[in-house]
Amino acid sequence: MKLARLNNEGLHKFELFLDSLAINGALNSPKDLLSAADTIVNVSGDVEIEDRKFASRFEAARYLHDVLPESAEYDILRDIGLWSWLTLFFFDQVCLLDGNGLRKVGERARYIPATDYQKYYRHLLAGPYRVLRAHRDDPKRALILLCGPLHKPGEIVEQLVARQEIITNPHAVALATRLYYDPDSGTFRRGAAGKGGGSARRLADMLRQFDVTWDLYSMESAGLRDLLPAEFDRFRGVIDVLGGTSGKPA
Amino acid sequence: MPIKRVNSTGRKKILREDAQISVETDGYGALTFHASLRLSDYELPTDAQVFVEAHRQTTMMRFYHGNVVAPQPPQGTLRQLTEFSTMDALLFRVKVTSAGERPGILLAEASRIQPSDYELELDRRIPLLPVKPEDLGQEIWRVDFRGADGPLLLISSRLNDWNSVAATSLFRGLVYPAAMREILWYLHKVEETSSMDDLEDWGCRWFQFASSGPGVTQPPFDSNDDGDWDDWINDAVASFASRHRMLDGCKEILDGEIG
Repeated sequence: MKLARLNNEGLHKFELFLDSLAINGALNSPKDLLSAADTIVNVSGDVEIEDRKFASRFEAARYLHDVLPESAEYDILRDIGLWSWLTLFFFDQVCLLDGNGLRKVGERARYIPATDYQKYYRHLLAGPYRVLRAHRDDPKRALILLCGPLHKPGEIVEQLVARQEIITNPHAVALATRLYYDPDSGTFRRGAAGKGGGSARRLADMLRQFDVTWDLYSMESAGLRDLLPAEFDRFRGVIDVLGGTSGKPA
Repeated sequence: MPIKRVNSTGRKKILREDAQISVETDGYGALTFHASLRLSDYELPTDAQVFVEAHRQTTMMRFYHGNVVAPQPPQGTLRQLTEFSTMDALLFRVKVTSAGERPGILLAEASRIQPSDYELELDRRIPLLPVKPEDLGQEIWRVDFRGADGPLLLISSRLNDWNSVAATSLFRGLVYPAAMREILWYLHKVEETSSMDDLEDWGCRWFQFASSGPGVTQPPFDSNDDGDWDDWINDAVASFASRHRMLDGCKEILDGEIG
């Protein structure tokens, strides 16, 4: 289907649908909004969006990064109508049917991009796209933020993406991936989530504290890792074994 | 529970007035920043490195600015903010970091700097010189002193898009310093303005504006020597041109056109 953006009328109807879905989880998504003349605005260029199935946020982000138009004059991440159109197009993947054929709708910012600084990254399609674009020189360094399923980014993503000093820092993101991403399972290591010692939440707190003393952008991920206290040893040990880097023993 | 950020490092806070950043948009929509940094009073190590960072949400660009004693702002297109398409919500940080035995320690910082619009800033700095289109024959511009409210910068209405022409770095670089020089001489020789106290008077406002630039002294009101006035006016115009990087702005356009 040809890419478009929802206009004000389309956004209004999409919001009404989300409100209704919260009450009646059996409702079908209003796909007719994707092409009706009174609910969309055409996007310049003939961009075709395929109805693909994405195994992870990474796959979705890579596909969208490949097909969506970008230019110096146009910041696609601020195009609320376009991301809302995409959400509706891929609605079955961002809001899954449960075993009873019902959907549980989440907060609005997951489907229609929020503009406030506390929620902007939560959109289920723009979020991973944003991460991949920020790390497009080496997207795999951000696997910890992209390995989850499209409909459920997870707490680790929330902890790390919400911190600007982390998400914009390639060394910090690489460190998080090396600490918490398990390449064998393709998902998070056990203990990475939650509030325990060495968790991603603790990493975010520690980096925030280091940011007061150090210019973290000038430090390689190994240097950052060496600053971490003993509570991170169980994750750091995996790096030392797998990566052969120097550092504190596991 | 999140830990509280503690700053017990002796890191210095760079005052906003010492880290000023403006952003301009070129004819093709690309953003370029200009940083005006004054770090000499912070007693920082001479080899400490200076970085300017532009950031918004998940996007960040970082620019090396030389060291404290020898700032080396990136030149020309290297100052382009290629990751940003608009100034909306764009913020800057300036960081000074150690380069010695313990490199990477943050020595001084200015954060959450809101950039000003370079063109608007320039307009604000010369609120005293409104631009007006007029048929000037084959002349392109002229300063008009006929009005009681102060001079006007007349620009040829025969230029198809005079408004855009007046906004170009080339026009500003070539015209504004010359116009400023002409106005200051006019005030001294014709109007014989001899103070800066009366803000109702356009001449006083112009003298205040001219003497507000870095390194510019008060006008030599006590002197009748045109040589003194020539020196002062040259200083004021040079400071104005330097502050707005008039030459750099012109060179970027001319290098693009000719080179």
